[in-house]
Order: sequence, then structure tokens, then C-alpha cells
Amino acid sequence: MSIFAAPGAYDRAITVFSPDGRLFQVEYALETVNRGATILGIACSEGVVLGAEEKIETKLQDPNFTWKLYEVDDHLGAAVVGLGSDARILIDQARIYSQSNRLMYDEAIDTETITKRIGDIKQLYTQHAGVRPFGVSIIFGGVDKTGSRIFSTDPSGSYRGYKAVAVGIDRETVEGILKEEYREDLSLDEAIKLAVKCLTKSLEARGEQPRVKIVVIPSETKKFRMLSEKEIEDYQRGFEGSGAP
Amino acid sequence: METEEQDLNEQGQPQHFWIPGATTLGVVCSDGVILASEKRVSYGYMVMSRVGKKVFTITDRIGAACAGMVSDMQILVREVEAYANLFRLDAGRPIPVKSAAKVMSNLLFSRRLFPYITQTIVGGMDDEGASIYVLDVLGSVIPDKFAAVGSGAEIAVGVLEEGYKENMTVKEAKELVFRAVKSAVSRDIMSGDGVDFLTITKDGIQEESRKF
Repeated sequence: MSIFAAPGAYDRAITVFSPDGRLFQVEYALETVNRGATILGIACSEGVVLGAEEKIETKLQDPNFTWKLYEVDDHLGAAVVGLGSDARILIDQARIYSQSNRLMYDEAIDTETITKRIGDIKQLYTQHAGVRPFGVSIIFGGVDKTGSRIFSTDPSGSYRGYKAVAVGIDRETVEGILKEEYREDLSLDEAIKLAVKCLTKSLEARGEQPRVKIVVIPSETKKFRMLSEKEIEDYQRGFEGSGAP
Repeated sequence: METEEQDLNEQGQPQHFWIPGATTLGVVCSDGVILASEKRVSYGYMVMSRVGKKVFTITDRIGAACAGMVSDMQILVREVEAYANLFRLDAGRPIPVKSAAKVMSNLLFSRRLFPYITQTIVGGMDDEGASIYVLDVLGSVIPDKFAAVGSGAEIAVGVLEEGYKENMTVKEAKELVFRAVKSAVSRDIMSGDGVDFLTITKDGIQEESRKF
């Protein structure tokens, strides 16, 4: 047997480890996510920003239709990348969890708690027989009692907390910009500007017509708000005019 | 609360369901919360115990004081305690007082058709400061500054009403609470035999037992 076990016998059932300790189906699911159109999340003291690039398939598409950014609760949003249909199932569950948290504790659910719950579901689908993993990564952004927080889950079910994060095909480009320009004391307006810039730049680099969607949850109102097309265009003009390279 | 309910059995004879009485108080202070209850447990004309305990700790910053069936209050508080611990482990922060009261409310309402016979005052300290919530048998949750429940409540609440001031310290309020319980036990036959205090401040919970 060669040192590096070739996939083949070990990627038929997801519950089977390869001899070098890998779960190929889970890794393939990660590949789905890494090839998806980019999403990002940025947290600052004034709130959180979630952003997504949405590919337009036809000009007749309703411009107001959004399928990568979701309101989970008043104070909580989600950006998804990968298989959109898988994502909807998890978003439905996330909405149920947040409502049941309100019933049970008379309190809005923490961003970390909801991420954990969704991670738990994803983990189940890496261990049970006869199922496949969710081909989705979700960035949850919310303003809860612990402040403005960003968490991201991958198809294996593990999750991490971030100040700013990007997932998808342009991850490296976007994280490059984020590493360069993210500051702890970013204002909400600056964070939105940064999110729009990241997504627009990465799209331009690929020579595609950008369609950027942005959601904000300000700490002040703790209310989910989707930015209009016009607001986003204004932000895009803003950084074009500033003469940034 | 009705302390004696009369009903007819199958033979048409009167039946008695004795519910133990109590005097149970909760007061919000500037620097914490005081929960208190007297110690008598009575079954009809019999004093079952003079050392009953009707105040409970739920977390290291939340407690409950109850009136009614002692068995029911013990089970109820233990269950809320379990949920409070799970909340802390899950969320990585202690459960707020309001949420602990809500958990108790859900447990009470889930037994709407065969209720736990308890009136409860849940109180404690969290990020929002000191607070108390009053719960009835079916699980209504009412926030308040001071409250009295149990058979001695009518007497005790009058004393609290007269003596309570906003921003009292725990030290001042404790004497008021003691006075209120003393008034109640002197006229309510189902209350007596000393007081248990549960004092919750930012430094933690302190338990004290006093004789009259």
C-alpha cells in the first residue's frame, strides 16, 4: 500500500476513515464550500456586517431576491456559502432554535450558541450511515449580551469565532484586504465600506459584474437590516472616488 | 392562597385537602436581594416540622423562596437548578435572573392540568443588577420590587408596603423583612418557628437563620 492512500475505497461511505485518518466525504463537502461565491463577516464595536456575492444567472432575475443572506432573528443574521438548498434547511433550524430560546429563557439567543447548535446538526451528518454531509459553511453574525460577534461553521461541524472572516472562492483575496485594513476601532460605516470593498475588488479581479449584498446589525438597535441596492452603490462609488489602487 | 379546600368524595362526605401555609418574602435592595421564609411546615392542625426550609439556592447568584407544598418546591427548584447549570455550560455565562424565572414558569405551565402547588419568589443578581420575580401556581412571571406570598402574605405585605423605600441597603431591608415576618407569624397560625434568610449580593449568597 502506498503511503498516501488514494481516495476510492474510503470515500464511498462517510463513516469510514481512510488509513491516514481522513474522512474524504467531509473534505469534498469543504471543497464545495471553497468553490462557492464569497461571503464575509466583520465585527466591530458598533455592530456586525455580513456580506455576500450573489451570482446573477439571468438578467430577468428579481434584483431584490436574496439567497445567501438570511435573517435568523432580530439581532442575528447568517451568510451562507455552498449548496443553497442545504443551507435553507439549516437556516430553518436556526430560526426555530432562536425562537425556542426566547420561549425557554425569555432572551435572545447568543450568536455562539446558535452556531454551536447548527454545528451539532452538521456533525451528525458526518457520522451517521446513509447520509451525506451538509455542503455549507455559515457565518453567523449577531449582537447579543456578550457584544457584537462573528462565528463561522464548516461542513464538519466545527466552529470558530472571528473579528472578520471570509469563506468561498475568493477567500484569500478578501482575507488579504481584511488583514490589511481591519482595525478593532472600526466604525460601523467603515466596516460596511470595508465589506463592500472586499467583495467588489474580488469580483473585479475575476472580471465579473459584481452584485454585492450587505446586511448590518447595529449594536444600537440590535435590528437586522438589509442594505438597499442604492446604498451599496453609494459605498462602491465612495471607495472608487477615494483613489484606492 | 386557599389553605383549606373542601370537596365532596364519592360518598358525598366532605374531604379536606390541607395545603401547608407560609410567610415568604422577597425584597430588591440597592446592593442585592433578600429572600426570606419562616420555617413552619403544617399539615392541618399538626405542626409537621419546626425546621422546614423554604428558601433555596439555584445558582451562586440566584435563589428562590417558596410557599405551598414542600415536596413540589423542592422538585421544582432542583429542576430549575439543573437547567441553570446547563445554561451556564452552554452559553459560557451565568443564567440571568429573568431567564431562571422563565424556566421555572415553563415548568409550572407545563403542568397546568396537575400543577405544582407552589407560589415562588425568584430573586438574584446579574448584569442588570438585583431583581425579583413572583410566580404563581400556573407560572405567571411578575417582576416586582418587593413581594409576599403564602398564607401570611396579607399581613406581611402591609408591613413591607409601609416600610419599603427605593434604594434600601440589604442591611436596612433585612430588619424590615424580619419585622414583616414577625407580624405575620403572630397572627397566622400556619407560619412560625423562626426565619430563614437568603441574602444575595455581588459577593455571593449568604444564608442565615434567626429565631424570634
